[in-house]
This record gives sequence, C-alpha cells and structure tokens, in this order.
Amino acid sequence: MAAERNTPKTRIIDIQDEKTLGALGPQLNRLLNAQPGLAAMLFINPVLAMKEAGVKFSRPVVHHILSRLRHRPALRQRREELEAHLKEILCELPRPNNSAWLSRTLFEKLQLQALDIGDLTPGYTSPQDSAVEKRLQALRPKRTHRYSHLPPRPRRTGRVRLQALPPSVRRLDLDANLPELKPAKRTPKRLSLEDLYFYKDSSPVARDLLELAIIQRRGLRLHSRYSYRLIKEGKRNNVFRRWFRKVTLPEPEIKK
Amino acid sequence: MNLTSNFDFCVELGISSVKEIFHLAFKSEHRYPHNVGPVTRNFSGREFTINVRVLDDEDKPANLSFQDEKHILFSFPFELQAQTADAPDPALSEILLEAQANIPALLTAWDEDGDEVLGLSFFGITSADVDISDLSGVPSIGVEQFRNVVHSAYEAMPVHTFSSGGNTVTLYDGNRDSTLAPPNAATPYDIEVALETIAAEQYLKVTAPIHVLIPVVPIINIEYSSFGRLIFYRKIEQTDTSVTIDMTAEPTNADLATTVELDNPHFASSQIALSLASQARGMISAFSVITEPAFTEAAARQLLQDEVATYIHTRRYPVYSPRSGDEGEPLSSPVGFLLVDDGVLAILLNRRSGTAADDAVPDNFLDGRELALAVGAAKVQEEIQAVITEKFPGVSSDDGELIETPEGDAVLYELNVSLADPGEHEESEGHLWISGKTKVKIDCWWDPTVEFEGPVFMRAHREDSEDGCELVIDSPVVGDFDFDQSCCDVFLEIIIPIAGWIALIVIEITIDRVGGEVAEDIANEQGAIIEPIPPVVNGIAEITSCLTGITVFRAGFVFPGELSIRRLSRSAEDLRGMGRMPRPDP
Repeated sequence: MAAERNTPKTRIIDIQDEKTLGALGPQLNRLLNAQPGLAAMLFINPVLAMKEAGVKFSRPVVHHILSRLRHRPALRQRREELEAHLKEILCELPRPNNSAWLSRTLFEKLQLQALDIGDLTPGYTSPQDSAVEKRLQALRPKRTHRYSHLPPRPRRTGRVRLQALPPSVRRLDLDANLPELKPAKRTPKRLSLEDLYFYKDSSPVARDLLELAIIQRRGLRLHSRYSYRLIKEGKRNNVFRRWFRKVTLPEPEIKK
Repeated sequence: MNLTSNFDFCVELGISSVKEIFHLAFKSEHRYPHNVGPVTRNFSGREFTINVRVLDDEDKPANLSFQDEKHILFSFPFELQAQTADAPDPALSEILLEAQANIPALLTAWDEDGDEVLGLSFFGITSADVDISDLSGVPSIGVEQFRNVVHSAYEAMPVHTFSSGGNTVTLYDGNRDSTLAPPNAATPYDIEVALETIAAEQYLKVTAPIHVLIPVVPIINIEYSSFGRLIFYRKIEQTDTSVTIDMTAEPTNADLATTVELDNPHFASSQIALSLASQARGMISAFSVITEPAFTEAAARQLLQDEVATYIHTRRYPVYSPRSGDEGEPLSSPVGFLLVDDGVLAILLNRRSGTAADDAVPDNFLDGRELALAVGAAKVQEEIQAVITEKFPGVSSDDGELIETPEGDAVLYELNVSLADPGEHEESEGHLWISGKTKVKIDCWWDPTVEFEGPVFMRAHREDSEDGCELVIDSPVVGDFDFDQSCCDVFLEIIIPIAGWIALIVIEITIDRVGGEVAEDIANEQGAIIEPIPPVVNGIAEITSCLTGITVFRAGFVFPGELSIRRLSRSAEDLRGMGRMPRPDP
C-alpha cells in the first residue's frame, strides 16, 4: 500500500509494504536516476538515499531492504543460523565485533584458557584467483643469466617484490592449521578478531563467533545517519563516494 | 615531460657517475697506456726521442665536461719529453712540455664482445681537434742559451790555436782550454755574446778573447804580440723547432764585418788587426754550423697536438654495457644523449617509432639522483592492456567479465587505466587514473550500472638487508580510506592488484630491456632478484644499483635509484694502496 503526499516542497512516496516496493521499483529507479548526486549514496545507505529522493519506507520495508542488501542469500542464511545458535548457547545476542564482550565470553562464560599469542599473525585466504595469477605471472619477462661470469661478490644487489595486500578480517582462513600455543600469564580484558582466530580450534563456540564476525564484515556496511551526512558533505572519506561517478538503475523493465 | 622520446626506455646517470666510470677506465692500462714511447721524431734534421705521459692523479687530475648532445670534452694532463742527443746547449738537449689537452669524445655505440655497448670514442680525432691549454716548459732562447751554445761549440773545436804565415792567433774562452800558451789574460776573459737586431734581422755578436803572436812584423822586422778581442757577427736563423747560427758565413753588411782589437799599442797595430781579421774568418768557421733545438710556443703546441692525437685517436671505452645473454633475443643498441646544462647522460633503448634521424633528447628526470630508469607511456599502456586482458578477459566484450566474490557478484564491462601527472584530477601526486563500468548484482532488486573512476597512487620503498637492497612495491593506495570496509574492501581488492601487477611487470620488463637482469624469482612471492641496470661496464667497473621508488607521470613511469661503482680488476696502484704488493723471495 502506498500513498503519495504533496507537500509545498517535495512529493513524498510513502511505501508501507514489500509488494508496493516491488510495484513501484521502476518509478523509484527513475527517481534516483534523475538525481545523480544521490546515486553513489545508495551504497552508503540506500534507505537514507531513497529518503533524500523523496521515498519514505515503513520499518518492515526498511528491515527488508537492509537485510537483503547487506548479504547475498547464502551468507544471510548462514549468518541467521549462527546468530540463532550462538544466542541459544550464550543466552544473549552474539557481539563478536566487541572486543570486551569477546574476552568476557571466552574467558569467563566459556572458561577458555587464555593463550600466549605473542607476535603470531592469523592465516588469510588469498583474494586472488590462482588461475588468473598464473596468467599474470606469464606476462613477466623470462629470467636471464646475462652476467654470470662476474667475479664473486654479493650478487643480490637488488630485489623487487609486490607487497601483500593488507590483511582483512574478511579473509581470515577458518580452515588453516594453528600452532600449539602456551597458556598466557594473564587473561586479556579485550580480544580482537585477529586474536580470536587462535581460539577457533579451542571451542566450537569460538569458531562460530569468528565465522559470524567474518560474515558480518562481509556485508555491505550501512552507515548511520550521522556518518551518511558526513560522507555526503565530503567531511568523511568513503571509497564509493569518491569513486562512483554515476549509478544508473534500469527503468523500463520490471524484475521479478 | 618527455621521459623516453621516441623510445620505450631510458636510463639516466649523473655526470659524477660518468666521471667515476671514466677515471676507472683510465686506470685500465690496456685501454689507456699512461706512458707512450720512446718514439723517434725528426725536427729540422735533428732526431728527437719523444716520451709521452698521460696523467690522472690527485695533483694532476684528468677531468671531463659535457660539451654538447653527443660530445664529452675530456681534459687530460699530458707531459711530453723531447730529447736530442747532441744539442750544443746541454740544457736544451731535453725539454719537458706540460699541458692540458682538451679532446672531445663522441658518445656512440659499438659492438664489443658481441654486445652493443654505449661509450665514448676518440676514434678519428686529429691534431686539429686537440685543444692545448696551460702549456708550460717551452724553453725560451735568449742570450744565456746562445752563450752556452758558443761555449759548447768552443769546446768542440779541435784546436784553439790558429797559425797562418807564421802568425799565431790563440782563441780563448776562459780557461776552457788550460793547455794554451800563453795562458788567457785577455779581456774579456770568456767569450761574450750579445743579441742585436740590425735591419730587422737578429744577429749574434760574439766577442772572443785572443792572443796574437807575429814573429816578424813586416818592414820593421820586430816581433809583436798582444792580447786582444775578436769581434764578429753571425746571423741567427730560427725555425719553429730550432735555432741555427752558421759561423762560417760572415754577413755581407760591411758594418758587421769581423774586427780585431789589440791591447798592445803599436803604430802598425791597425794594419795588424786588419790583416788578422781576414785570417780570423777561417778561425771562426771552426765553430761550424750550430743548430740548437728550440721550439716556438706554436711549434710546441703543434707537437703536443700531433702526439696527443696519435695517442688518442684509436681509444674508446664503454660506459654502459648491456648484455643480452641470449643470441636469439639481442637487446637494442643504446642511444646516448647528453643533457649539458643538467649534467645528465640519458641512454635510450628500444626505439618505438621513427628512425635515428627522429631521435630526440629526453628531459631530465634524474632530478639530482644517481640513477633513474624510465619507461614511456606507450609501453606502460601495452602492459596495462596485457594485465587487464589476463585479469579480466571478458572486459570490453558484450558479456563483460563476471566477477564473483563471497560478498556479491558484478559484471565488469569496461576498465581503463591511464597515467596522470601531478596536479591532474586535483591530485598533487602522479597517479594511475582508473575508470570503468560495472553492473552490480543485487538480490531482489534491479542491478545498477556503476560508472567509476578514481586515482591509484603507486608507491614503493627501499628496504635493506644483509642480502642487499630491495624495492618493495607498496600496496597501491586509492585514497584515504579505511581498507577493512567490507564491500569497499572487495572493490579495492579488484582494483589494487591490477595496479600492483602493472607496477611489477613494468619494472621487470624495464630492467630486462635496459640490459639489467631479472635473475630469479623470490620463492613464493611476487618478486624477483634483480640487477636494475647492467652490473658491469666491460673490463672497467662493477656497478651495484638499487631502485628506491616509483613516480608516475603522464609520460610514463620513473624508477629512481642509487648506484655505486667499483673497479672490476686490481692494478699495481690498488695493491700498493692495500699494502699487498708482491714481495721478493726470501
């Protein structure tokens, strides 16, 4: 059900349910396409961007849009499973991205022994496709041995290498083997996700918490109203805002 | 900015590096023998033994400067020793000419050991090309030298007593002949000489002490003896290389006729003197023809020019010696240009367009550093396209390239990477400008088409370890963003590796084509062990070079670096400095 209200300034489209949302989709797309400045903001927070365009959603529709956009179906389903399972075990909503909460959960609620992690870093999966990487490797010139007759000296005068991509929680490798760690002398008050990684084989709950955190990080980050405003005004950097010049949504056809 | 002109690659070295290579080349005796000679030369009929020394030491350093696009002007300290065995004046039997010889060398390429090297060649240099400055050691011929010549000629005379018709004239020169009787009591005591210019001709005036003994003076029939002086003039003939005085030829000018002055008064002394004067001509002829080596400054200069040209005209030395290592894939001939005002040697490789006639001087991108490599935009674009094609084969096709990630899928239809100067796109740093078009798959909604563009900053830094130096290509930077931002992160993970691969491949191809060496891969890493430029200059020097960064320009990439140069072999001089000279058997 939808209602159009004419105010002195703008015409507001009020969408109360998912059916109406689907029916008015092409019209909404046309509305957004007409305002190119707003298009990139769809990737910051689509609900707030739509609202700026003159579209108001009911709370259930907002929930529907955000949950659909945040994850693709398989991840969304796995996230819901994990959240339900962990809530049942822990008797509270899991909050793996909260380091204090994580510490309390692991060391007080689950009674896990704190581990001496030292300088160890987690294992990460590669963001690169190995087949693509092989093709790219082939573009490099052949190795040569042009100056092998040189007298003995430090031959390794130089090297060149690509720095690895910065590690990302999204790519923590759940299946990697962990080294055996000694117990820590102190129990940390806070536990980062990188540290939680070293407990993944200590308890199924710890592993589930880590997997949930990874899924959460894999979702589209939807910014708060405050953050949205800062980004829109250029007071906070955001890669989408900086890079996306034009976003065009299809208008004529209707997607089922 | 013109980084590589009509070529793909350019290496720039500072003048200090060129000088360093030159000084090392100059220490190679087989390329530059420091001592030449003895050789025999004939000047004005006199044989000279010539020895030449070329110097480059702390007191007398050789030097160079950039003269024009293709010439370096060398300044060598030369010493030329000319010796003649029988100079009348012993002081003139050896002269040592010292001068700075300024000689242009052509920056050119030639084949050496099967590889094209770039270097400096003196081939074809003639005397006219050699400029002589700071000439010293040209002896000046003055009265002192002529006095010595006459003294020397006197000593060479077989006899000093001349008799004719019973009369005896004794010729003295101090006590150079102590056997003479009576002993010398004449005035002057020694033979004296003076230079006089008469009617624009130069004459040597000689005043020689004599003693005259006439046993029977005609008519009065008494003995007469007296000390006195013989005064005569002889013309001085000077050429560029010698001075000649023909003592046998009396000037025709009556004012310059030979005269005799006698100390002992006698009413017939004037007649006696007159008759002795004609006898004296024969006596003076005993001095014979005196020829003395005497170079004018012009002649000395010419002599040096000739000898320097003879020394240098077959010499050359390499400055840049790239090797292919594979006969099937020869490297291109390096083409050099000198940026005179900036003191930069630019070496271009792989002509991309035109012919040699179209070759042009690139700009100075060395920027005060020791070394910099550049690759032109066209070549970079080739590699960019290759990377895009391999990474996203479907891009630019109708179907696009499907990119699947756990976070979501997208179809990439267009992807372009161009080079941008500092200042473009409101960015103060040179960068890659990436643009493209993609369709993002959204669950239960219409898929938006996103057109994107933005800068990617390429950076690299040098790290040093026991194994040497390392150029680490930093993860390309797309802006001041929090990397770990889920979907942002995914987007960047698609863009960033392209830029990183472009940097790595372009660097390695540049190294490969400028004659450096991509020796081996670093195990399990996207990297290699490299020699950024040829690590050796044929027979002269070893070069250790390290790349230190990347700078992006619209005209291409620049990889600045540092280098150190050391001698390839050791000389006796080196061993002496190290205290490791061979010792005699105990």
